Amino acid sequence: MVDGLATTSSSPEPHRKSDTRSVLKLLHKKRWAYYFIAPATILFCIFTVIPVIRSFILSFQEFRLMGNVWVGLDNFKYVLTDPVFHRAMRNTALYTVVMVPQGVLKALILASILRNLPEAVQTFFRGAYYLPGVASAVVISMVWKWIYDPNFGLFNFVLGKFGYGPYTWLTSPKTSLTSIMLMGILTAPGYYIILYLAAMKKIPRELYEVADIDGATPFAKWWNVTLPLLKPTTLYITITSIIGSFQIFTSAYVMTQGGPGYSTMTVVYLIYNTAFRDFEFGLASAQAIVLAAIIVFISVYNFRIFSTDVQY
Amino acid sequence: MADTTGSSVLSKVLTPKKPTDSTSTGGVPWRPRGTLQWIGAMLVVLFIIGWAVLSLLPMMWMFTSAFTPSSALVKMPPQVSIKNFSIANFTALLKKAPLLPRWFLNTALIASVATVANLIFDTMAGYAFAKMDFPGRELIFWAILSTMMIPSQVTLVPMFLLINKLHWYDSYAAILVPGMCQTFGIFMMKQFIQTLPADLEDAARVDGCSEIGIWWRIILPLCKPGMAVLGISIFMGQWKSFLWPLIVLKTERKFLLEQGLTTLQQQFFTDYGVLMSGAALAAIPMIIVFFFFQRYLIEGVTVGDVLKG
Amino acid sequence: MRRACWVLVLVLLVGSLAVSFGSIGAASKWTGTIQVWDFPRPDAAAEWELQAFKEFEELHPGVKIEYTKLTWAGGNEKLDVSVAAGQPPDICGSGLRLPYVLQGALEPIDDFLTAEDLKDFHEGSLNAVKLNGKYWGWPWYNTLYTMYLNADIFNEREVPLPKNGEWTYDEFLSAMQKLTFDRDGDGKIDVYGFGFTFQPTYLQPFGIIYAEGGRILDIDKNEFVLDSPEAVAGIQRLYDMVWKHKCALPNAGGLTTTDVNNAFLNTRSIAAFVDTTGIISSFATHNKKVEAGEIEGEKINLVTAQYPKGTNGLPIAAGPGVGSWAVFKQKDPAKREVVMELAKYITRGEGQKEVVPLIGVFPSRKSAGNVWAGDKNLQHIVPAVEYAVYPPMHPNWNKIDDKIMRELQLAVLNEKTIDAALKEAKRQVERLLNY
Repeated sequence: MVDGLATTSSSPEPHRKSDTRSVLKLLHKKRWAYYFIAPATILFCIFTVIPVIRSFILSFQEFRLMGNVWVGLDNFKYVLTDPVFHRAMRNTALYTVVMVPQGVLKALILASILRNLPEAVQTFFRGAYYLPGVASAVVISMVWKWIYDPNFGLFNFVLGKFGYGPYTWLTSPKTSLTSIMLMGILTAPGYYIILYLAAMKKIPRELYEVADIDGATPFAKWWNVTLPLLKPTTLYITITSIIGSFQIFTSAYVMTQGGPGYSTMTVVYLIYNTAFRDFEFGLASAQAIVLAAIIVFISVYNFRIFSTDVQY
Repeated sequence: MADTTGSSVLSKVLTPKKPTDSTSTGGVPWRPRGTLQWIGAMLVVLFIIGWAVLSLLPMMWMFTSAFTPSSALVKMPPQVSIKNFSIANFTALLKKAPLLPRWFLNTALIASVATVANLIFDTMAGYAFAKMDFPGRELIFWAILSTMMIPSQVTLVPMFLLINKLHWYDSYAAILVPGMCQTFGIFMMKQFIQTLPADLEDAARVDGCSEIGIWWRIILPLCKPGMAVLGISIFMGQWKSFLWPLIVLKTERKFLLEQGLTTLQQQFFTDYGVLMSGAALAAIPMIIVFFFFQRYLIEGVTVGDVLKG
Repeated sequence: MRRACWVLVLVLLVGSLAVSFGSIGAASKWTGTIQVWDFPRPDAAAEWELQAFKEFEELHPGVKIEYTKLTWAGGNEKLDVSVAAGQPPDICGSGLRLPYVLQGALEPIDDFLTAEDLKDFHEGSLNAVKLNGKYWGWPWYNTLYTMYLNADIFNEREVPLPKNGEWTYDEFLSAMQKLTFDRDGDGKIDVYGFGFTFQPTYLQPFGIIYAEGGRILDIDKNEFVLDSPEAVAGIQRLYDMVWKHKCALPNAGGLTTTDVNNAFLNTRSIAAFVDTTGIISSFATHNKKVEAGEIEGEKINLVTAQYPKGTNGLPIAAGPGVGSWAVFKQKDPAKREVVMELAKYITRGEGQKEVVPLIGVFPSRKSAGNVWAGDKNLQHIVPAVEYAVYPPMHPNWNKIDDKIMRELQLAVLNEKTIDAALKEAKRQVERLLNY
């Protein structure tokens, strides 16, 4: 396309005409693709692009009710030199590095185990792992608060019976972030499990039968048939859990308020404070854009790793 | 729409070999052999059972507290068995919030519409991104995907300005329309559809099936498990949403459930009995919807079924 | 021709006169709808509010009040988004937030405060709505903290309750020490005397720091003064209760305020803690229900007390702030006047007399009188009210509060010395002081 435009300078008219015509022809040939993405794209342009562009512009401004003031790169300068932002970024990055691989692995292994169980049993476990999500965040956090309570909690009680502890869990800056991560590690990834199960459903039996004829062990079949065909799902789960981990907010907000000190301060918690405690939407936008840039960068890298297109 | 049944090309590509096995999900079930494997299997079973119990704990606690006579104070450690069953909390809740049934209906309606809309639009876009090659595909896909990375906290104000400009303040359009199609849904369906065999569509195309027909007759039936997961998560997401409805809805009659329930919270003190009964009530439809959709998780659709359909 | 000219002039004169008279008439009699937002109040107080709105509508024919109930969870965000989008309500209860003042979203009430009002409001109440020399909200009630004691644990340990809720620091400390004990003899402490923590916006433990004259900021001099010897002594007392006397809940600083409440109310593992007076009525309801056999559980035998007195013998009280009605910027001066009148009507003295007890707080006007006279619990606090210390009104207070609290958390967790924590806090706060 670019080449075509460059060559038109020598013999302008006829070429350009056929060029546009071929483009139109191509578009016409592909019109169904555009029809299919049209509803999504139109909704997306109105309700996502406009707000995102607005907040992008806002990141170069100081938010003022009487009219925003352009401040150039000041917000970004402040964000990148703010020690609290650094701390929050470190906490968030550490959280992501730990949570994403274990989450994906956990879901994959659990789903692989579950799918070999009889249907009724499978239904029970799917429910047991997924349904806790229906309980409100308040209820879940209350239960975890009790589990972690340093004086009267479940963990210290049980560990005490074996002569360990007491541990400080959420109440010390040395252990608070680890405890938040442990909470995530001990939570069953219900959504990812059912997604994996759904993806496993559509792997044709024929492929396993071919492997059986070759005399493959169960592990070999899992490794050579199941895993490769789950790649797109694994990519989806990896990307969404990277986004989710980088945007972690609720557990820090409810469990520790980012403390003690700044030990569990996360980037989105900081963004929340900047926007809704300090009313500085410009600065909050800058913080959000720095965060988004990092997530996009990592996501692109992940797409590269998983990029080999998989089809039967 | 061209009729694809009985077409020769299609049937050649897709001859089902065996009837579906309802107890297995595709792979041949693995059976332990020898003592060591048995012990290993038992350990795994114990582990997944233990974990399931731990996962269910908050929910059990929520339901027992909801049905236990309300104490203004919450019991520690969490109580997971109902001692004397009572629905006093629910009557107290209804007295405090006479509009509760109305909120319940509102939410059921909104969440259902949102779910259906997403099931259609997300699979459409996902199909195009996964299977069609068209100019701008990568660009549009990445543009859509990258907006997921912006935390919603900063788009709240621009979003509200937009809703005002559209004169949608205090109307359900403000909640429904922006949520009719969601990025994570498109992405999920794209990844899900990507691994469907291309032969299928090609064969259908050879048979003169329209693009819409392929999507409706081939892609959607094969996607049922994925759509079930999507349906569950969209419904739950909409059912639990609270901050956005809180910001854009004004008339109390129009409130959604979670939003309405938060209006019952007091400044200085939480009545946990009422709180828990509200949470339990809110959880029930989500559980029902989960079991409704999870049928399709079980129902592994095979290529042969699509042909017959 | 001439006649026509005269007629024209006459018509113009009469017309302009009529118009000007008309506008004067309109200025005193604005009609229209006022958007009122408020956070949810206890049921009885909410009813009182609706009644007050109705009365105001009757007093001002043509004025209609549209009331929107906010929520405590998410309500601030709703208000923030609406204000940021330029669509605030006309008036909002508990709507005075520092950023709104700085952004010019609120109307100063100075022009509408009469000399009588100025005399009638408690000084502390007025100071709590004052920023940059102007008043930004109509004070409605003062929220104060009180110390809650679990009388059952006091009796169990045979520790006398403070007489009239008054005690010195030494009396308080020795009581807390006696109340820390191992109930079942397993070598593990089951009940601690006191429980506290440091959490941004929750100033519960600060009564101990204020008692000897310690303050956080000197607003007039725009200085950080939490490192003054008086304040340090107060922080040291809190620290010592945890580490030296071991009579306060361990891990203070790492707990949230909710954890401390839970320890007192649910696990009953501390004998004393501090919270707002607003929760008292909930205990009464709880006890009533237990007595009536409606619910299982134990009654909570509650007694209130003041913070321990300072060495000067004066009582001390602390509070998280003043509940006030803030009026948002009005284009139409006639409407502004009516909205201000509404705010004044809601916060008038006789009104406070009725509604303030329903919320469980203290009136901001002297004319409301002593609403808690004879109340078993709150009469103890009344003598301390005039010594109440509220958070300093500084434009950057929210950020300052956050920095200070996080440093104090580390100090009482023994992760840092008090000295080092205060030095760091001072360094951080000084950058925020000069706005």
